[in-house]
Formats: sequence, C-alpha cells, structure tokens
Amino acid sequence: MSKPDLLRRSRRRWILALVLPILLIVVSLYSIVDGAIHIPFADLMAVLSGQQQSVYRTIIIDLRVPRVLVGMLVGACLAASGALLQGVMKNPLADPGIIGVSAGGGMAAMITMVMLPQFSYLLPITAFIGAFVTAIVIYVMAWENGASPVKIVLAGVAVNALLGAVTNGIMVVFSDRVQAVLPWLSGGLNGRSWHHLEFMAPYALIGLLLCLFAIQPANLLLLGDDSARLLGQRVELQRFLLIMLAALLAGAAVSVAGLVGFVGLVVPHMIRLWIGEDYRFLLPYSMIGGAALVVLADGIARSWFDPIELPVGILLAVIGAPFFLYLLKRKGAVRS
Amino acid sequence: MISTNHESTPFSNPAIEVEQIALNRGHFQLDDISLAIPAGKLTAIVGPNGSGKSTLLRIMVQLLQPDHGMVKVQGRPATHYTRREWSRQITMLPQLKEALPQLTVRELVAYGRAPHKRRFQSLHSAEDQAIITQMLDWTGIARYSDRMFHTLSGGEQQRARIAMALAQQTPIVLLDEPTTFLDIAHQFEVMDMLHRINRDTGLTIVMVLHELQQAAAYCHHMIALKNGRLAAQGEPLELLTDTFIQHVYGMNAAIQYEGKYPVIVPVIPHHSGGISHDHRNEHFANHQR
Repeated sequence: MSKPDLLRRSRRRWILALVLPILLIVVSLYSIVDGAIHIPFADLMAVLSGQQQSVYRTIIIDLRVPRVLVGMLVGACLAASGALLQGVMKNPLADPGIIGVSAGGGMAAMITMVMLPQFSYLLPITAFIGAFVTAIVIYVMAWENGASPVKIVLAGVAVNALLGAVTNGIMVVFSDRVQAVLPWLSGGLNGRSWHHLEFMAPYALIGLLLCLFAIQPANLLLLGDDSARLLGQRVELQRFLLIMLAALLAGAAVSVAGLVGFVGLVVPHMIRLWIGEDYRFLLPYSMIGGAALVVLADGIARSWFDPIELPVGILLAVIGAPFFLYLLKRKGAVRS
Repeated sequence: MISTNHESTPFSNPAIEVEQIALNRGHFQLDDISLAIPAGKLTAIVGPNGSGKSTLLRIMVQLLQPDHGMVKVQGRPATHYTRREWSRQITMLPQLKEALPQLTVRELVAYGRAPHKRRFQSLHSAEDQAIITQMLDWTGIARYSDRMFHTLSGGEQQRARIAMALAQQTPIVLLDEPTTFLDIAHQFEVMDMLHRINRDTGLTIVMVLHELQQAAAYCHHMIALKNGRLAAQGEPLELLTDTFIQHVYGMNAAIQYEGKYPVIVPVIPHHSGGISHDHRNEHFANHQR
C-alpha cells in the first residue's frame, strides 16, 4: 500500500479544497433563505444582485446576511482555535469550550458588560484577556511533558466550574442589569447584525491571518519538544505565542456569540482524519469547515424548532457532546 | 580510568570537547566528565543502564544545561552559538518515545530542512527537495518515500528518522540508542549504513550503544561511562578486554575474536546453576516440536 497512502490523502486534499467552499456557500444560502419567514430563491438572487426592490430586502440585508457572516467568523475562529490548542497542548481533547478557555473569555466579557458597560466596545479585548489567562492557567496546571488528556479534562472541569460560579454570582449580584446580556449569555447568534460584525471582525480577521505564521511552528511542535528544539525552534516562546493566538480567536468568537462549544473539537478532528495533521492544510480547512458548521447549525436551530429560536450553542452541544464521548472512548485517539 | 590514548591531547581537531561537566538532577547525575569526540569518526558511548549516557548526549546538544563545566563544538563554546547556527552545526536523534504525527516518510525527512529555511517559510526549495531525495537514497528508503511512516517496520522507521537528522546537514550527528529496539539483522543494517555514510562523507557520528560487540567492531572511538563518571575511553578494540568488562559492567567475561569481530563470552560459574548445554539443547528441541 505504498502509493495509495499519499495518493488517497492528496486526492482528499483536492476534493476538500473544492467541496468545503461550495459547502460553505450552500449552507450560507440555506441559512439566509430559511427561517421564520421563508424567502423564495428568486427574491434572494434578485436582492443579492441588487436588481430589484423586494419585500424581503430588509430581512435579507439587515438580518440574515450579517448573521450568516458573524456565524462564519465565529465558526472559523473557534475551529482554528481548537486546531491550535490541540497541537500546542498535544492533546486531542483541547477545545476552547471544553478546557474553559471560552468560559474565561465569557466571564471577562460578562464582567465588562455588567460592571463596566461604558467599555463594552472593548469586549473582544477583555474576552481575549480572559481567554488567554485561563489558557495559561490550564497549561501550567496540566503540563507535564505534554498536557495529559486526563489532566487537561480535569483542569477544564475545575476551571469551568469556578468560572461558572463566578459568572452566576455576578448575575445574582447585578440582577438588575443582567436582562441586557441574557441573549449573549445563552450562546447564540440571535439578533446579531452589522453592528456586531463590525465590532468583532477586526479581531477575528487579524487572528485568522496570524494563523499563517502559526503553521510552521505548530507543525514543528508535532514532532515533540526535543526534536523541535534540535531543529532550532524556541519551543517555550512559540507555545506561548500559539496559546495567545488561540485565545485571541476564542475571545473574538466569545465576544459576539457567547459560549458556543464543540466547534473547535469536532471540526479539526474530522479534517485531521481526512487529510492528516499538516497545519498548512489543517488550519485553513478547519476554518472553512467551522464556518460552514456554525452557519448550518444556526440555520437549523433557527428554523426547525419554529416558533422557538434555539440558540446555536445548544444545538452544537447536542451534536458535539456525544462526539466528545466517542473520542474519549475511541481506542488510540487519546494517548495518556 | 582506563585509557588507550595519551591523556593530554587525544585528537588534533576534536569535533566536541566536554570540559569538567557536572550535573545533579537526583537520579540523573554526571560527575566531572572531560572528554573529546574525534572529528569525522564514529564514536560509541557505552556503559551500564543509568550510567548517564543519554544525559551526556543531551548536554552535548544543549537540550540540558550542565551545572558546571562547558561544551565546545569546533573549538567554540556551545553557548556562543545562536540557536540557528547551533541547529546547523549539531543535531541528535532522540530515542523513539513520542508518537510521531501521521506523516509520509518524505514529509518526515523534510522536517530536517527547517533550520535552513527562512522564518515562516513552509514550502521547500528545489535545493531542499534534492537534499531530501539524497538522504532517502543514502538511508536506502527511497522506495518508501510516499508511504506513511507508521506503516514501516522498526528498522525502516529508524532509517527514516536518521534520514531526517541527516537532512539537517549538520557536520555532527548524535544518535541515542539507534539500534536498541531493532532485531539483529536491522541492527547490522543500521550500523553498516552509518559506517558507510561516515566513510563517504566524513560526518562525525556519536552514538549511545548497548551492544558492545557492534560498538567495538564499527566505531573508531569508544567512551565508557559508569555511575555518571568517565570509566574508560580509547580505541575500541584495544579497550575491550576482560578487565574493561569487569571494571565497567562488573561482570566476568572473556573476549574472543572471530576474525576482527570481538565476541564477549560470559564466564558462568559452574556452582551457580547456570544453563548446562544439555538443558539448552532440550529447550530448543522442545520448541522445534
């Protein structure tokens, strides 16, 4: 089976390079069309090409399109963040949601919104700081020649519980102001509009672009610390910077969508199974896959449970949690 | 200490000089070790388990910093090299402990080019590609280049990892137990290959070996450690005597020669119930049935 190995993988890389963007476009169109009000495809095309005034114009341009774009960025950021954390912590279970990085960003964002509302334009930055501090705490607690899967999950449970308690405490103490942040807290894209997009897009795009510089160090870290050092790498510094980048990405996602879990776990895993661990492919493919997953899940969560709009975070947890259990169970997926 | 060289100036231009190295990390301990590694030769580091062989190797390549003493490479203190210069000067093949990512053999070997690339450059130049191909040829694994690394046999995997170290094109390569987990045929394959590469290119190779006979037969220089101290060093075939085995391993053995190949024959005391020849034959006979 000498040739097939490489052939199969490079063929899959080509196929996915075509399929993933098409998938993203298809699910985006679906997510724009479907919802409480169904939009005929002809009207959608007319509005998107700017030809004709349509009764649906407001719904499409003001509600659905920005929501899909926010969903794309959130999904891309979470998937890239998960792919990076998995490599840096040498741990297949490292997902910003599971290990508490998102929760750290969420708590910081919550504090900002409730206690310092005048600074809420800095939300992505405070979420990033919260996510980063949490990531470093977990890294230090669980690290011992690579973060062992058991330790990292335990650390994540503890950190998640602590952050959840603090967040709940804030909600009780500032119960008068919590109403305003509830939609954010449930982890969804309800009512996300151009204003939200403008406010998180710079951070998200900077993070996604910086991933270009993460490819080579992340690939070298896969070989193990000793080998990376012998190849001239500054292992500690690079790991620190990569964690920072993962936190920036998670923070950008959290600042606009609240706690959306499992995207960073499911997407990079599927991509890795298909095309291998090379970050030159893993990162961009995960971004597109994550974007497609969140947009699709949001479309479904919004329209299948009519008249209720389910927050996308809930639907993703319903898909993601069993997948997480499957990974834990699967032999060889988790080496301790 | 047993030595076959005159102590003051062992070699004219040593590749590595270790000067009064001491390190104490609980069970990792090295005590006042000074030695030199000859340039362009095969050097074996031998000694009992836990004698500090791997630790010494890690210090030589700066994965560990000693408490005292210093390492010089090509006459220049190791700490004076930049990280990049260092990774173009010397490298090491660690023991195979960590699971490697799922890569093809060629992708693995390509990692060795990292110190020669610009920062963040992830594509391989034509020169890189040529060097990768050359190393696959040298190590005799060119026909496996597109196979997944983890589907190879132990001997082939080891050769692929050696090819990666060679692709780094450092004048000095250290190998930590390159033959330990291989069967005897693959052990000789790897030793033959290293011998040939050393002869053809003048690469300085230092390796930790457990198999004393192979060490003596293939290497130009041998260093023996015991309890974190230098126990012996010199020309292997001169060094390898019954006194040496007794001194370093605390074991009674006689050295015999099959042609130029040394054979270590353990002296088994008769009263301690050692295996008699009759028993051994019976054992084999049982297995063959």
